[in-house]
This record gives sequence, structure tokens and C-alpha cells, in this order.
Amino acid sequence: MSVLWLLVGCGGEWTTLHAVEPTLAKLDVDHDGRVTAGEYDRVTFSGPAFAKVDVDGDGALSSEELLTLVLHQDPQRFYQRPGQAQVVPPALPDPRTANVGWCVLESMRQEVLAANPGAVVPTADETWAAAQGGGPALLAMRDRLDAALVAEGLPVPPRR
Amino acid sequence: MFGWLLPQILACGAAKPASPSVVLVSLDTLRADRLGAYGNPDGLTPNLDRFARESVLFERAYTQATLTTPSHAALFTSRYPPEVFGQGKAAVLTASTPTLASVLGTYGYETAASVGGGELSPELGLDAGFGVYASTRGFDSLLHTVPPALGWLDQRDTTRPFFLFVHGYDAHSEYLKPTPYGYIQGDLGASGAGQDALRSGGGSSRVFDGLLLADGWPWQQVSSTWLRPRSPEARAELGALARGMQPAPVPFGDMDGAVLRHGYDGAVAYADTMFGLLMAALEERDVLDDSIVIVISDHGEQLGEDGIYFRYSGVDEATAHVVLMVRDPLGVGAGTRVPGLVDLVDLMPTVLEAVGATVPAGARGVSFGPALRSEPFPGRPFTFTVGGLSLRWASVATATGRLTYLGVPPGAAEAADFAATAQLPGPAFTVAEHTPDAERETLRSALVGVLRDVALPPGAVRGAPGPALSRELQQSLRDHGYFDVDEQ
Repeated sequence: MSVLWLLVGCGGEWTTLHAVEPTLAKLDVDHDGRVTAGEYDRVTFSGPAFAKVDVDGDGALSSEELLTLVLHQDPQRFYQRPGQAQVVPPALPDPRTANVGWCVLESMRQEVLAANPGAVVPTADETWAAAQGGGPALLAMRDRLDAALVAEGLPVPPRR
Repeated sequence: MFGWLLPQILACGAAKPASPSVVLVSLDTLRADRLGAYGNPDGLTPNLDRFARESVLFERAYTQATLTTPSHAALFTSRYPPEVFGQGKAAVLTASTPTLASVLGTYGYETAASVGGGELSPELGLDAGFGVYASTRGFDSLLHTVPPALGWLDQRDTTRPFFLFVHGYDAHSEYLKPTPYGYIQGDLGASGAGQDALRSGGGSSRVFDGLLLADGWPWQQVSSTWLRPRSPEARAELGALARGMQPAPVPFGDMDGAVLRHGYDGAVAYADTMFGLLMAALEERDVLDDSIVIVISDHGEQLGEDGIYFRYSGVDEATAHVVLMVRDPLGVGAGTRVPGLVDLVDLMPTVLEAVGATVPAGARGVSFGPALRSEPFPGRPFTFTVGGLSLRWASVATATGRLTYLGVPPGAAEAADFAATAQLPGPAFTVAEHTPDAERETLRSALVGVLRDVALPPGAVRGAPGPALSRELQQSLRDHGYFDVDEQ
């Protein structure tokens, strides 16, 4: 987001969490700032149970949990119609996949490990911490993984 | 025309293209009146509403066809649908007409499309001019079409400008979307014909005149009648046929209609979230800083207007009025609302003007660039739209009225003379209720003019026969209610 956008009065960056936050607010029918099991159950009919969606178990649906839910329900296949074969819903994936930066780092890490299972690379938890930290932390992790890819003779993805 | 040059200067010599890139997002079947930015108070579209605040919004934009394939064909070629379709079982874009992608390609743009299959399957010819045309198997969401688009963005040549087209069927039937969107507007009761229509394949396409027709109903028997259900005789004929069918149709009342509309609104909310996620992904890649982003819908949807759901017949505000918003990377014109009439065929000349390219001869569109520059912009005197699975309806609208015609098919040599001499009012015409009587002949004159422009000489045939569609595509189209795909 260009600084110039701030000058013309349009606010903030477009982010994945911003994309779902209005939906989360709409689910909060009692406006207490928490989307609870009751509020979730009001709008679900074939989606996963609240307990599965509430990944951190705090009793409320967060933006990250809603984003994970949205990204992992296929609108073509989420609903079993009468007469259709039972479809077993997939387990909810790692909620970190909602973080694009982490996905990039993790894909690089996996690529190194696929080429050389014995390679010394950061752990997934370390890439997650770097992605959450953003900025210098993320760039430093990116440098480490670039070097690891080069060491294995693999191409380095272009930076944007 | 835009302020796209300034970021290039601020980039301090980074190797960026000299022309702005263009991202065109098509949200299939999205009624303009469902967006907050177009006046809906229900809060369904916070992401699109935010985009509107960052854009120039066209309050009265119209599609040239109320079906996906011809609408996009007109958009991509700036030609009216009767001019750009060959023969064949389904409408197929003829390859000889310059497209937005092909022209941009000649100006050094990399071009790619990621579409949701179905009516935009490459078999139907809409891939013409694109360097890359990724299509899913059928009627898919942005959830499926955005990742290939991002994959292409991530590997493209960053020294060249690009044109990226992204399309999704998120607001298309089937309306019922995953949790929490399916019932985000309320379920109004857990059973009944409305719920059956909402939860069944092609449900909305099976609602007709107060009846929900059973799955497997032999549409082909009545397809020619269905083309003109607004006539009392046709409605009576079709209603009698429907009531004689087994299993018998069930009544579809006002509450059932409300259930279906709530389902559609949930699909709109889902489309909005998917759009917001797309914007976040573009932001992540710095695309928004130096690209023009355009959001359209290709047509609307009938949601009970005149007793009809889906969009098989006629042309009206519900089906022809579409979303059109243009976001300049620097925010030029942000928040401007343009009241003048524009057509989707105007988009190609506008984009080509913006990047300094020449508009091909024969283009029907006129650039709405002045509106983007906050210059005087009166808009078109009228818009032109065709409708129906066989594109036999033709409609013109002005700022105050609408006249819709069903007679000799548009494109036939005799159509203009027929429309010029047919009784008005009469069986060939439907006049929108809000139309002043004094405007009828003005609308007829505009219609006759377009019909004359697009007509072929007697006996001539436009284009070569299109290829036979694959069985898979035919079945996919039938499954989604395009019941007479065999009879095009």
C-alpha cells in the first residue's frame, strides 16, 4: 500500500485478516466482541463443529480461525445432498497457512528438505516466528532459506 | 491518464515496466444492487465497498448480455454479442476479432486469465488473445481461480507490464455457500420449497411462476416456450405443462422466495470475502501500487422479479445492471461516483486509451476515460443488451426507460425492419413500467439502429461453425440449469 493512499484518505493495507473481519463482526449478533458457539451454530448447517473451528479452545472464533475455516471449505463440495455419497470433511489444516509469508518460507524449507533430508534448516516453528515477526525477522529468515536453497543447487524464488 | 507514473518515479530506478499493469476481476452473477456501494443497507459487501471508496464507481453500468459467455465476449472485444458469435451448439467467440488481451499483447503486455470454467471454458473461445488461460473444470469460486493467478504473477517477467483477468462464480447458483455464509442472512425456516431450491442442484433455475419443479424435469420440451414466459399465453402453456408433470411441482410462495434471496445474499457475502482475499494477495505482491484494478460483474440475476428466478428470459434491471469500479494505483478519482450510462463494451477502449494503445476499428465502445479524470462525462445516450440462452432478446435502456424486444433474432437481416414496423406496444415488445410513454419511440429508434448495425446481409452466415462441446462441458452446463445447451 503506497503512502500516497493515506494522503487521499483511504485507510490501511488490504490483508487477509481484514478481509474476514467484517464477517466475524456480522456473526457477533450480541455485539459483545466474541463469536461464541451459539452464534456460530446459528449460521452453520454442514460445516465443522465449533470445537474444531475454535483451534485455540478459548471459546470464541477469532479472525485467524474464521479465515482458516473459509479457506478450507470448498464451495463445490462442502455440502452433502440427499442421495450423494458421504464425504468425510478433511481435518482443518494448520491455521498458519493463512499467513502468506509463512507459506512462502515453509515452502522454501520443504523444498530444501525434499532435496536433502539431512540439510540443516530452520524448524517450522522458527519460520512461523519469523513470519509473525515480519520485517527484518522475516527478511533474515528469507536470507537463510535462500542460502539453503543455493547450497542444494536449487533456484531461489524471485523477491517482490 | 492516471497517476500510475508517479510510483515509477518514486521507485528510484527500479526495473519496473513503463506502462501500468491491469487487473480485471469479474464477479459472475453479482447484482449491482446487492453492494453497499450501490445502495444496499444490509452490509453484505464490506470489501467491495472499501474498494469502491478507493475507486471511481459507475452507478449505471450495463452488460451487453445477461449470460456469462456473450457478456465476456462483448467485454473482451468491444463488439455486440450478435457480432462476435459463430454457429454451433453453444455460443462460441469467433477468433478473428481483436480482443483486449490480444491488443495489449501487441503492446508488450504479458497476458493471463484464470477463470472458473463452465461458461468461460476455453472450448467457448474466450481464451482468444491470452498468453495463458487457466480454467477450472466448472463453475468454480475465486477460491480456486485466485491461486493459479497468483502463481502466474509470481513467475512472470517483472520487466513487462501485464494484463491479468480473474473470474469466479461465487455469486452464481448454487447459492448455498459454506459456513458461515450460507445462512449469514438468516435461514427463515429449515424446510420448505425455498430450502429445497436452495439446497438442490440448479435449484433457482427450477423455480417458475410460483412453482418449484422437480429435479430431472424435461426442460427441452419447453425451452422454446421458456424463451417468452412473460407473455400470458406462454406462461399459461408452461404452467399447464408443469402442473401435469410427475413428480408434481410444489408451490413456491413469497417466504420461499425470501429464503432463496437470503441464500443469494449469502453467496454475495462469500464473493465479497473472496474478493477481499484476492486484494490482500495483490497487496502482498505490491501489485496495487502500480496497477489499474477493475472490478465488474458480467450480469445480474432474477430473484423473483416478474415471478422468475435465475435469468433465462428477458432483459431487465435485475439482469443487465452490473458492477463497474476502476481503481487507480494512486487513488486518482477515488470515491467518485459517475451517474452517466456506460456499457461493458466501453471498457476495452478505456483500458487501451489508458495504456496508450490504439483501439481496433469497429469497436462499439467509447472510452469513459474522461470520467476517470473527473472531466465532464455525459455518458451514453442508451445501452444495448441481449438476453436468453439463444440471445434472442434485445433491449435498449436510457436514463429513464427500457424497451425489450423478442422477435426476429438480433443479427438477422430482417430484424431491424421487423422491430421498426412491429406494433408498439405489442407482442414483440416489453416496456419497463417506469418508462414514460413519450420515450417509447425514442427507445425503438435506438433499438432499430443497433439491429441495423449488427445485421448480416440476407443469407449470410457469421463465422464458422463452432466446435462440438465436450460431453463433460455439456453436462456441467446442464447441471447448472443451462438446460437447452443442445438446442442453441
